[in-house]
Amino acid sequence: MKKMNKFFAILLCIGMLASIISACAGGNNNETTGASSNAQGGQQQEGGSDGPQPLKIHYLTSKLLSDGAVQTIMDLAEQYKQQVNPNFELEVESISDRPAYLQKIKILASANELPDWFDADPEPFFEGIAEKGLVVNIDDVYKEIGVTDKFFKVSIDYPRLDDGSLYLMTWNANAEYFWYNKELFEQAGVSAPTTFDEFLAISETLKSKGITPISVHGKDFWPLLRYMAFIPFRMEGNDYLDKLRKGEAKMADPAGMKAAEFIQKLGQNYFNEGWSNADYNTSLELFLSGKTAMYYIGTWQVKDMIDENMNLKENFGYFKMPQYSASDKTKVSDFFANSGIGTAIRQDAYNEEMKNFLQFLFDNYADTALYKYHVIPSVQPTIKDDLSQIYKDMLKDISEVETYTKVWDVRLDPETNESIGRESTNLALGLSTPEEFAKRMDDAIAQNAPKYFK
Amino acid sequence: MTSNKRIEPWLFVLPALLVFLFTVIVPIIWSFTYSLYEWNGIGDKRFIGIDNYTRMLTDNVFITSFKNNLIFTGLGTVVQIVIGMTMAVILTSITKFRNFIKVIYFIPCVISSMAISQIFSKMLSINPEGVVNATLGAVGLDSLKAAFLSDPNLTLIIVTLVDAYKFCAIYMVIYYAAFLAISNDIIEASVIDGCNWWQQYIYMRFPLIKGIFFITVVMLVSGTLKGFDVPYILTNGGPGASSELVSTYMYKVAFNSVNYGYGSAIAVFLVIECLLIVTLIRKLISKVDVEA
Repeated sequence: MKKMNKFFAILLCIGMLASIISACAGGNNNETTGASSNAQGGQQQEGGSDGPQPLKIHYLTSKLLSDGAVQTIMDLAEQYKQQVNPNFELEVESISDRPAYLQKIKILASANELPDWFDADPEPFFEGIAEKGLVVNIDDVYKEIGVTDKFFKVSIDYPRLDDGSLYLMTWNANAEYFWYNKELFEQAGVSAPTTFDEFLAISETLKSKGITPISVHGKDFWPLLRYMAFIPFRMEGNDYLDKLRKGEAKMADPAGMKAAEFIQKLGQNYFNEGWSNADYNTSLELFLSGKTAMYYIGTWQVKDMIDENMNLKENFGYFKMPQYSASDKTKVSDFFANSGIGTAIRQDAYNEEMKNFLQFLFDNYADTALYKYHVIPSVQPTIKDDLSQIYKDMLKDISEVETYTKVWDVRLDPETNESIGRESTNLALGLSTPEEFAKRMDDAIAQNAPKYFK
Repeated sequence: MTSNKRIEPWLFVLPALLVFLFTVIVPIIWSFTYSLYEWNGIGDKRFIGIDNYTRMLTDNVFITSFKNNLIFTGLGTVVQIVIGMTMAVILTSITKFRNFIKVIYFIPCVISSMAISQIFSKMLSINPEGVVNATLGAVGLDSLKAAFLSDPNLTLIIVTLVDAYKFCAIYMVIYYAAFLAISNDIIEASVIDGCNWWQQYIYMRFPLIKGIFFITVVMLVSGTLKGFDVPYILTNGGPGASSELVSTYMYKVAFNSVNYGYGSAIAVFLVIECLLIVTLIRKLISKVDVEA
């Protein structure tokens, strides 16, 4: 009897364990069957000789449904439905929690159940998807519908893979700035910095006046990795990152060590209390409500800094990525600019009718996005005279960028990415020294990079 | 004992056995096969033998998560047994409002982990100020105010306690049911013999529910060894790896780093670890049983 008991206890234990394993893999089925049947729906209905073919697109996005770009797309989809094809439908599903979104896409890709449209960055995992021929070549699509020349340079170059091929449509042209609270700056008697030394100096002054200098959220890894990227980019341009990710440059090199020291100094002194567990909205709210003096964010968030006439609110100012030293390799006009996350089209979901929709979409996208939803579109808009100064300035900044800073969490392979996210948090919290950090990163890259970059 | 050789009992067991095989044993074998490969989900699988297992030995994060998991299990088990038992004893000892209090105690169990974690993350937050920090400030303990969930020395203990808070009422119910099942004759006899309240528990009630108690220990240990939801939602294993558990790390390796091979290897490790520890506990228990 005792033997039997033991046997059952063991079985029970296995059963409980198996439930986690199966839970991880199980959750996704419902959604994806829907997606693939949609795709079939789009292709099967060949009947009806006249008029446009029915088309249903299932779009899985990592943006919020309230995001300006998504609003514009849905708005134009509705117009398309009313004006051109009554049998058209765009179904947008949003998972705005970025890590959860990326996880979902990875699982869907592994299960071969990608949605018709899905958001992705030009990172190594997506490169694998493209190499397998699962997504449409966007260069060809742009050429077919004749919009290639209308894009901002950064919005068409940023999403390119290493070999120059393009598999992602983009919706935005973003520039990233340090936004600051003018009132708090005045209180502390400081002004916008032009170098990182000044940046640290004003942070110290703000802190000594009892003002939290910088808003950051650590729940996502990318904000901290932006701070990591600043100094190496100024010192060596994108070369450093390009070599680092393949293990040809080391984190222990001067540029990497300077970055590590910079992060540690900021994390231990100038970030909002509890930053490592704060989420996007928390850090944004802290800045908007005047509890922190500076906040680094891209123009996708600009709607919170402007008034109803699209003018910058009086209380806010902004400055570009500061310089590091006189021997910087990159110019002040070169900084973080990008297209935001792009959107891929699954190869077997693409057809003539979808092309017609894209034609309609891109022909009308730019001005609708800018003037109706106040986002800077990836396609160059008509600049009307009454456009507010800040928008004119931002558009100018974006078109002047020659070398945009490459994003670390997009360029590094997925495994190193996970490590650097964890380790940079440790570093900024003072749990490890810059030397230990560098060693761990170099070890991780040595182990992971060969799998992704041959 | 001819019954052992008959086929009918097997026929009756068969349907359940088949379900069990396909939902439990097959996935484990599947995981084990994956664990011998290097695979990122879209490319080709590459056979690498036991490399994924040797990698665990040198993987600092894995070792940290393993140590964290032992603390999570040890502390979590003790806390849940103590609180569960205390609540059960209180319930058995009172006569008025028993059902009402039972329901109150049981509420955390029926709230989803997601909600519990969100509640605690808001309560422990510093910026904007949560209930805990506000209370500390109000009673003049400003020096104790802190960003609790960002403090790597505290996060593991916090997630352990929140997890324990969520599940301890289950053990209360089990112990309470066990106490109720004790025949009143025995208790009355002990009262006649001059047993006081304390002695009743020490000499009568606790020994009588020993069997149930051991089962709950096994449940708790195997449950906490694979603890996942609260740490994952509350701190996501962070900051750094300070509250990373084996199962959260496994999940991240498999689905964030898309290394299904290594993730599966960790899953297999978890299976073996659980089996070993539970077997060990059962050995100890049977030894205690024999001695008693």
